[in-house]
Amino acid sequence: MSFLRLSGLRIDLGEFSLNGVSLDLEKGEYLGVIGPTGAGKTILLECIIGFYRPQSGRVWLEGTDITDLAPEKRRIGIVYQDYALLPHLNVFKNIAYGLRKAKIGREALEAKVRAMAEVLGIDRLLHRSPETLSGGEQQRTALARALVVEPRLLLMDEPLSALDAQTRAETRGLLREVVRGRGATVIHITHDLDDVWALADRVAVMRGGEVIQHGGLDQVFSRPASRFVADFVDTVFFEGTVQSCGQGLSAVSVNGLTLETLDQAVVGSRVRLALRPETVVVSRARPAGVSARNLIAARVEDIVPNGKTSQLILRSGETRFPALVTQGSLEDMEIQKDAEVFALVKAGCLRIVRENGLSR
Amino acid sequence: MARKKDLFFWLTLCCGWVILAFLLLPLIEMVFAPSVQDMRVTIEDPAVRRTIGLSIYTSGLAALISFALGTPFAYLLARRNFPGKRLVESVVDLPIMIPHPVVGIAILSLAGRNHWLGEFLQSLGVRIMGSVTGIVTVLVFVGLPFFVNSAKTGFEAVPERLEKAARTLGASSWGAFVRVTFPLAWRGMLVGFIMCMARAISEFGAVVIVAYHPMVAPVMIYERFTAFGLKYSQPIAVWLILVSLSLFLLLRLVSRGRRAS
Repeated sequence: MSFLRLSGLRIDLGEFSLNGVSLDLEKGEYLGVIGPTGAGKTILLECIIGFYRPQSGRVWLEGTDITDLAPEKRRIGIVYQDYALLPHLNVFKNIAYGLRKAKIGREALEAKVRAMAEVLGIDRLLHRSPETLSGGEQQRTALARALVVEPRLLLMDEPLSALDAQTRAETRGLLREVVRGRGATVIHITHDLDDVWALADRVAVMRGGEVIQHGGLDQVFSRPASRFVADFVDTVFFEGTVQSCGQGLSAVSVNGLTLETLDQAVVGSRVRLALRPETVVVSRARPAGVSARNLIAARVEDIVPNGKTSQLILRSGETRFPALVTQGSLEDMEIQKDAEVFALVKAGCLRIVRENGLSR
Repeated sequence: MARKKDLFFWLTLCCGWVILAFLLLPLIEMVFAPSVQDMRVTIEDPAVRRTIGLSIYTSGLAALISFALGTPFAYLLARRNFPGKRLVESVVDLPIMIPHPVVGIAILSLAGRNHWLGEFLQSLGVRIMGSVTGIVTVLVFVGLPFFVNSAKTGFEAVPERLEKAARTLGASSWGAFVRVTFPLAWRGMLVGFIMCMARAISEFGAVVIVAYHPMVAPVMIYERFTAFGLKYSQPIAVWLILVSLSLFLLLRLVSRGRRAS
């Protein structure tokens, strides 16, 4: 049996529900859970931790059925978006809160708290009240408090969403270093796909109280199982007709463009091609001698800056598609609106998605 | 830049002055009416001292009972939703709306010999009519809503997530309540305690029906007024106000001290 097994969890809380959620997670895996508001993500965490008892279905952890176990006996840690630090205790006492029942003596307890605070860079804040800390410092304290008790499983409910962009990036790096570095088993709810890309091994997409797709990052992001998943993970679709299929490549005609993909399809059938913006390479000059099978001449219709990257909206004939480039590349290539460019897409980055929603 | 003061501002200010004058004038007049000699003679009367002491004792006990019974109930109302919750909350507020002599009559009718409960209490030796037990029972009845509502507001101000976080760190639901919720909501409970005691110490209508004797201060003030007139009732009223005010100020100071620490 896997380290964590959720089998057919169902619960109806009126506004929120779970409708038969089943998931398996191995020890040391980092699962990112994404989905729109009201998808049931937080309820899922609260069922795992024991604040809600599912009306049916079971939760197994390390081979033991913990569905009926009280939350305090599960040894599952949680980090909330709003930190949930105890305002009447200072940072030291907050971190030490979970250790007070551990019979380790005062000195050992202090040593543990200080070591964890040092790892998270908050060792100089131990005497401070949580209310006097910045958002990032509060989140580090919450993380230290959850990790110091060495939980069997760590749950994180949008831990970075209340932070500003820079602190979010720093804290994300810290999560990678501290949480991933310790080999912790984690379920991380997020709205930010960057969190998933940076931290997760696997991703689950939830909607309407169900996990509608889960798997490795490549599987979910490159081969979304449905239009909803594709939209949610920023994948772009092209609809077209298969012109030829052979020698490991299929050629699909999309609004006069011919695009090649590694996926096989029946000649003459209507298919949808999925493309992720970050896989598109942009060049000012026509590239020669490149391995990419798809070379598309396009015009830059718009440039949407987004922090360190910009999204170029490219148009080729009737087809519009985005490409993600860094701010530096944009400046180096002196790309401006209405510039003529060439977009390169490897055949392996264009995936065929079936009309009925299941990836091939 | 000074804000422009229009007609509406002056209207609000005038209303404020009228209300303050309305509330303070009678009290100021009463406090300064008795001479120092009258005040000294009054407090030297053992019956007056006993009566004020009984008022403080019974109202304090009523507030303590409200605290013991009302805290878990207020927590339940703050944390849980259940069918009929609105109705239950209305029932808690009932004593505020019922005329207080009616409260006294209702309690007497329950505790009298014609009711099985009264008969049962009497078989246990518990007497309501004309006893301290009766006074405390009435005072709990009229004071409880003030404690429950204030404590409930205090609990509602503590995010449930804090308790949840504590539970994931090994605290039982009782442990999370004691170590997290109680230390954060105690101020609401203290305010409730003070309001409950203040309401109880001022109660007259219900007490006078259940227990004319032993005499609490409001009953004695009424008795002295009807028997001897205004001059003899005022000093007791002033002493009751002074003692109550000192107690409540002390409680407030203690709460402020704890907050600062």
